[in-house]
Amino acid sequence: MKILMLSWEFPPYKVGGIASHVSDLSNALAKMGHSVHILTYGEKYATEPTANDTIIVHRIPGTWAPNTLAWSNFLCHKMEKEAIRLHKEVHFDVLHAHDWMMVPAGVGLKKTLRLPFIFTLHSTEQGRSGKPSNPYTRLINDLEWYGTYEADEIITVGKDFCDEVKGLFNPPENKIHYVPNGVDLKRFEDVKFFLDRSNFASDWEKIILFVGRLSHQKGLEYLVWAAPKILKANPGAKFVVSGAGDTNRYSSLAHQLGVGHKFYFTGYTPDHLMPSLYSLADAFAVPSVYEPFGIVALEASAARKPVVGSYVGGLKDTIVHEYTGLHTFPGHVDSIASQVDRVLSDSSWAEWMGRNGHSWVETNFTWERISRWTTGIYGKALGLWE
Amino acid sequence: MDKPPFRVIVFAREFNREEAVSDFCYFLSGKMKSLGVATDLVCYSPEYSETEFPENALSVFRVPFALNADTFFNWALLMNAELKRKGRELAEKREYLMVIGNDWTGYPAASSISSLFNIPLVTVFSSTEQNRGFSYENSRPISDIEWEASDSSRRVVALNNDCRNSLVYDLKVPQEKILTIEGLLEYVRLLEEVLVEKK
Repeated sequence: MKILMLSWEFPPYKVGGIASHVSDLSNALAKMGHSVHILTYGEKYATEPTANDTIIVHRIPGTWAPNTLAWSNFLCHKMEKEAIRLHKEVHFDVLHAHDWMMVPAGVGLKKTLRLPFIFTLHSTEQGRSGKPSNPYTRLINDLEWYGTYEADEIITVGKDFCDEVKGLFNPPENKIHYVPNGVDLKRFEDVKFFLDRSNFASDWEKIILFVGRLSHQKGLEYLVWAAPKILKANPGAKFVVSGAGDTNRYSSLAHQLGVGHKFYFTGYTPDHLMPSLYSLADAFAVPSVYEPFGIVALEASAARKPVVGSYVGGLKDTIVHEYTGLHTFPGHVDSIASQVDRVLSDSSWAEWMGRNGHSWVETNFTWERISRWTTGIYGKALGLWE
Repeated sequence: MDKPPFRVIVFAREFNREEAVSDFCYFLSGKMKSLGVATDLVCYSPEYSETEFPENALSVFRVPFALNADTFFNWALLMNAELKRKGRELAEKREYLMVIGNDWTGYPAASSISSLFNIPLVTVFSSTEQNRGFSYENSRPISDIEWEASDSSRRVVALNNDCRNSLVYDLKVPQEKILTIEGLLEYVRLLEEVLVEKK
């Protein structure tokens, strides 16, 4: 199959989990023998073929725009132009767009090239920011609806999230699917770059790692609020926070609570260092209040770490309570404190959960398995089966 | 009326005969008819309709678009998806000499159909964003689209001298690429000859 993938973010440009998702999915599809062309943002026009030419990345530059909506809409216009040129050479079979920013290009190309259109939703505007309250957020919400309306097949990355999308946009049942994210286990088994643990914590300290955007959705403030209670029972706890965003807000909160010295904010950690960062942790925390999937929980499991995460969205499926980690009530400080304490106070049980997590990922969340599901959906869009 | 042998397809924001852009499209179709060329015009309207103007050999295909947008810029780009759909449907059935994008709001669809079917593209400008004052929040992306339209079109039509000046000085369009309406008609005649020779 010849697949045209549309994603505004693709490594090295990363904001959320979409870049890794598209990269890993494309690699897995290429391994199955499919040819994948990825149209994505770049600072200038460029074509980046891989060694065997089964994945070709086409970079398209954007322009200055007053906001993300106008910026992405302009980028989509440029992408369409390039996609039509490519289609005349390649003759794509399917078109696969990721998230609302790619909806204008996905729909435009569907209508121009008459290709089956697959749309993956990674989150929704209502989930991220609540009910649309102005024309800007309303259009983002409407673009999500428009994508589900125009798509031949819709992919959602979480079971709960699939229900959320059904509830919000009411798409026909037979065209919406749940296909989880996957993890490349090799990245975590064959760690190539090593971080020095002493840069993050003292030898006697136990690291509780948080990875994610520093935004309300990720719930970091609840972990910060829980920190004094965790430290009371475990004075050796050290919180390492990796991710970009409003660091000052969380750092100030930690200082106000008297635990600022127990937090280390690393900022954004490059992809190639992530496996090493996970390997330093004694426990991994995902205190999200909204999480359609939550790839970081799976990555922590792949790195054999016990995960303490909210019972919300995709984390309901990626964490098996008391087997791969522990669930907490979302946004509940006492619940987070007590579950982190349980993990820190029984290291052999924590290690056992970490090992189970690795097996859980290996059985259910490999890209090989997920790319097979995805091609099944492509086949359905192509009318190969019902 | 006997069907003229050649056709052009025009993409425009709307056609309601009460504003300047529509009047221009109507005027253009009259000029085309004088060359024996029929015009298909694809544009937005709240409801589907197909209207014939036999006096100008003009067929107007109006297509709706369901979304509202936060800005006119976003709306116009999104709405073009429907113009593309209708344009493709028509281009599969009819042979076109030329695709005309009327203004930046009709250019995205014109560009897509021109590229997919290998039909020469012409963009018509009544003004540029610089002419309009460059004071709108999305002036920059609009101007970038106008630059792209002037760069990727075979010919660019300027409907007045101010616009011509701006195309030359602001968008750096080579003078020889810029046509008046009369020049456009000459270009249509040339394309007709090429097509007749091919056949």
